[in-house]
Amino acid sequence: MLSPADWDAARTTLLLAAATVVILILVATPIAWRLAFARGRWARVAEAVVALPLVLPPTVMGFYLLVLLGPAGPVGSWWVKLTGDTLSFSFAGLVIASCLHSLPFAVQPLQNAFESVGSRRLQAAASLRASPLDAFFSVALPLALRGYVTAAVLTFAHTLGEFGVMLMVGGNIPGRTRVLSISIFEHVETLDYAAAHRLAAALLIFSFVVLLSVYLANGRYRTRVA
Amino acid sequence: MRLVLDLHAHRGDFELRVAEELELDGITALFGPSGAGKTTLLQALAGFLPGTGRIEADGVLWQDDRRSLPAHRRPVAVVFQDGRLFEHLDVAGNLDFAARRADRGGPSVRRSEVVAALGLSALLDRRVDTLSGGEIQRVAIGRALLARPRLLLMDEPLVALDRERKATILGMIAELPRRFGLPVLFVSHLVEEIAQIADRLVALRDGRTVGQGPTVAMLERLGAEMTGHFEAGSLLEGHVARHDEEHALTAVDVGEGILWTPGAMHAGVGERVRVRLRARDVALSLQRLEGVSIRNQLPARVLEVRAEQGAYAEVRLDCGGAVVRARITRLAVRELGLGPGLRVYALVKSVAFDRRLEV
Repeated sequence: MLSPADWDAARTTLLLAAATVVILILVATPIAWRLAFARGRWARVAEAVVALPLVLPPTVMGFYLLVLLGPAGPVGSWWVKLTGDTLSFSFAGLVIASCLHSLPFAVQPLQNAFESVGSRRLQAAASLRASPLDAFFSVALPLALRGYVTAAVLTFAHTLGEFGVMLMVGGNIPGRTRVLSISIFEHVETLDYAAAHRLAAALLIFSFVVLLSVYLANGRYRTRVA
Repeated sequence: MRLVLDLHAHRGDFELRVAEELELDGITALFGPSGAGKTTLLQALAGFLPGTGRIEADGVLWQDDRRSLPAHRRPVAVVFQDGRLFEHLDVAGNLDFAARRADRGGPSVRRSEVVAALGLSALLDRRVDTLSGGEIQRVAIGRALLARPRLLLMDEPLVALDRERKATILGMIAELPRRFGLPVLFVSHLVEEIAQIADRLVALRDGRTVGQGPTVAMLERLGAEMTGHFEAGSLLEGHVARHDEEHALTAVDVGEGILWTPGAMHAGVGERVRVRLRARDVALSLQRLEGVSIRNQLPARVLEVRAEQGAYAEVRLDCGGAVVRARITRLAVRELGLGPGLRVYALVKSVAFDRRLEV
């Protein structure tokens, strides 16, 4: 079936996707919360910035990230000082790139969910003596649960499928930054269509099963991204 | 609770400007036409509008221009127009939400007592999205009480309900101050609701207070301009003299005479009740009439005749100290020769106060 190198790529991909989901859920929550309840021009500017990865060519984003995370870049040089390792062409760099690239897939479902929770219910919670933090955990979070599931699944699936940014920032280092989508590309490049077929089919089935199980679990709820 | 307010809030073109001292005891109605600023005032009290001026309650500063006690630290609970129950919890869960966060320093409110007072026992296991409008509001009231507030704010809680349910829940609300030992501030634009339950009334119009005082006196003072022509009327206080079980009528002694009403069979003999007479249900006669179907004829003296635009005039009558209004045509005023001082009989159809009589 799969070669050891392909298994390595699969492991790296799953690890990357899982890390991205965990980090993004934590990071996207406050951002989505602010956007859901903020009014005015600056909130709309922030929304546009968050949505950028949806429309930007992955190579453009990957290029800027490479500049930013490279050993000479502002973030990359600081990381080298801190850890002795470079961010570009490393798994850590891949996680950062992946988080930025998938940001809208986490923020937008959460923002929709928080908007439908609405400030009215939060007022009710406040009038029942629940502090804002208490109201978040006891009212907003449970009501927005489906938004969280959607955000997690979309982020996960999007990370599985990403190619351009990964290649730009991570390169193609087996066992370290080579992910499934790059493996497929590599098999095609070397005209090993049989291996490409196996990986592509596996990825296709896996993605479908994940999405289907979420839709089944959520019943009538629809996954929405603007 | 004594509130000292100096509020100023802007919402687009609308400006709320209220400098008033309110002594809240029993049920106080915040009354005014829609757009008068009632809800804005209530939201400021609840703590949802910081930076809108000064609020002091029993000597404690809730907010001024610089600071504001956040909503969750104010000893108030709110019953909203739309209930705002939490859908991820069942009815019992909604009640527990409030009970767990209750103010230990607030009036002691027992859960069993709340469940009994609002008839919630059959609802406890129900999901929130299976409740009717009336059930939602009863749960919302119960939930607010269990937070043990020192002041209960109600923002038109009955506006979405039909007549029957409204009457039931109004009766429950009327009991709250006595049963749970807390004052209620009740926002409404409906004279009917206020006339039934409010002890005192604060009138609001175009963002300003127009006055405050006992409900009966205030409704009299406000006049048709605020209360609306169709709703214009008067309140009489009296006590139940006797019941006519056979014909399902109750005699209410209002001082100057007896009013027969069909809506008060539940009240005990001797109990004090309030009867609301709408001006359009009162007719006038120069003599006591025989052979008519109208049961109630109260001797009265004309105080004033106010001609309105169009066909109608409003006649204010002194009926044994209480003021009664009658809305009749200007032609009738001329033909009967009505003027101040004239002795007349106010004729009231018994059905006129069906369901308008409450303790």
